Amino acid sequence: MSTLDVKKSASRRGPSVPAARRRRSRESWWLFALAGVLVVVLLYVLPLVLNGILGFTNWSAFRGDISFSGWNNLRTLVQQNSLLNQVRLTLVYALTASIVSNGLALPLALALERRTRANQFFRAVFFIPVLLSPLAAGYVWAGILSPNGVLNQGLAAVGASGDNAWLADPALAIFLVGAVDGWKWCGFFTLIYIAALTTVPVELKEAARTDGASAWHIFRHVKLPFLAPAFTYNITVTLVGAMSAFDIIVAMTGGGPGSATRVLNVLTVNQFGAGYFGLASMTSLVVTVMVIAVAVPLVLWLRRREMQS
Amino acid sequence: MNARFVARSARLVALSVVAVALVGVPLWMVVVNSFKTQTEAAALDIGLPTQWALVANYVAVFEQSDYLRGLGNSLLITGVSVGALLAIGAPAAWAFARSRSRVMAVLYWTAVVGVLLPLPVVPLVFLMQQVGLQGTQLGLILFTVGARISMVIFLMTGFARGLPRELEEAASMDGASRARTFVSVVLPLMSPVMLTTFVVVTVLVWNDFYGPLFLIANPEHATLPLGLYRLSSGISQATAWNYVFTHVVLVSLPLIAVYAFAQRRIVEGVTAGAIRG
Repeated sequence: MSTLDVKKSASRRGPSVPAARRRRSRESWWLFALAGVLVVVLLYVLPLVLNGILGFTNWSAFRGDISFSGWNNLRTLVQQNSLLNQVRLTLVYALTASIVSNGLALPLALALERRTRANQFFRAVFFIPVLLSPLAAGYVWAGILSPNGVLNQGLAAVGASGDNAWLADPALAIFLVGAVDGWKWCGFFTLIYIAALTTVPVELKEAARTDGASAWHIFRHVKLPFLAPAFTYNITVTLVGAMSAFDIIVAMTGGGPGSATRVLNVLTVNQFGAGYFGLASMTSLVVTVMVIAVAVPLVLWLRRREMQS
Repeated sequence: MNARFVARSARLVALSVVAVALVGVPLWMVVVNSFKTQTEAAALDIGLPTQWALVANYVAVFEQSDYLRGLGNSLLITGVSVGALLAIGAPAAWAFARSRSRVMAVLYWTAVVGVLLPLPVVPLVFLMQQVGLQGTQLGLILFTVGARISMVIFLMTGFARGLPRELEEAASMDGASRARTFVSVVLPLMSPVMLTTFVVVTVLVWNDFYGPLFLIANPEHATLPLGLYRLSSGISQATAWNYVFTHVVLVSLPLIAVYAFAQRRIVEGVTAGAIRG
């Protein structure tokens, strides 16, 4: 196989390649990728495929054998766990996290774009939450948002109502946990936006400025086109990442109040902990399908916009 | 007092206010409450403690959570996984960046699917049970490598594609084998992206809680986040915030300490790697 590979690549390069170079025996490329490919196949592709199979079985802690159970798991999910509601919660969480993360990161990047000493200090400060474990971040914000926490204390200090049970409000809780997810990651996405902003040619900015363009005009017509790849990356990664969120919710609400923040991954853990392994597989299969359904059109759409701008 | 000076000062003040609100207050609240007694910490305010319980809290959490063991476990899992990921990812990335065979292109796209599609952990439990590794640290390492390999290959291949070919061609003209070229020419050139990848993956692996929750049952093998969860879910938060926050400080401290020393390189590294990634 290795010789075949070499021959193929040599022939594709055509006659312009000097004969001496073609003759020299060289290890072919796939040898370098072998370990990586093995890892991907055994530890990523195989489990992913296996998950698709296990989701349709009655695998559990309560029986010795495993057999196929058709669509039973999905039926259970729909009927007992109101699957559609969980899908909705997961999407709301992901959207909130993505909007908060990018909504904080983009203005911060524009403010910290130039590489001054002060800006480098602030970049470092805003990166600190990225280092916290999501679980720890969840406990921090559970404290801030608790009925007698800092947020209520601050509100009371400025004369507003200071006795809000933020996380106990079923309608509000999912947005709050999603926002904490966005907060935790915004420092990272700020750096990505800054990296994209440094690709804007200086002459372009100067020219716009000497033409008397406003700050908004420069942002919209000079910088924004160069930010497009960063948008694609940041929006996709925040959305998709937040769809498999778990830690922050466990720390802040444990999935409650009631089941108001029980996104799919929290449900997976509950089912697994209760011994329903096949059911848990089906739930994570739903996450997989959701991610594909959201990510593929999103990436294609954002890429097309990148080309246009 | 010109207008530019005023504008610059206003900008710094605004940034400081945002930084204090988003980072300063949350961190201060955690640290200061980890110094308070249980009763005082229950008030959750950001004033200094009237009665210091610093030593008592840290000693208690150190012992209750078996902190040193957790630290050792986290170091082991993170060190081995990240080391393996870089060692496996770098040559693969170079090969994917340079090879023009169609098979390699297909393999590359298979490898990077995982950037978007997370690895489900339940089938990993099944596989580990079959090979007798469920509950072991090796099992967790294998899961971690499988879960992050896509991101590593994606970041590094993007960078390797942008590397100039001239040096590699010169090396091969001089008769160097590909392995030799990789070690002496390509690896040094890839060090910026190695640093970026190292930082990003270390942060993700060190803080991971989802994998250990499924794959580790024995408390002796628990990593720091798993220990934090066990301690915090075991005690009533409303009455023991001092312990919860003490543990949050202890769990976060190793990464924050490294960051304090290498902060500029880390921030610059992530920014530099992102340009090409």
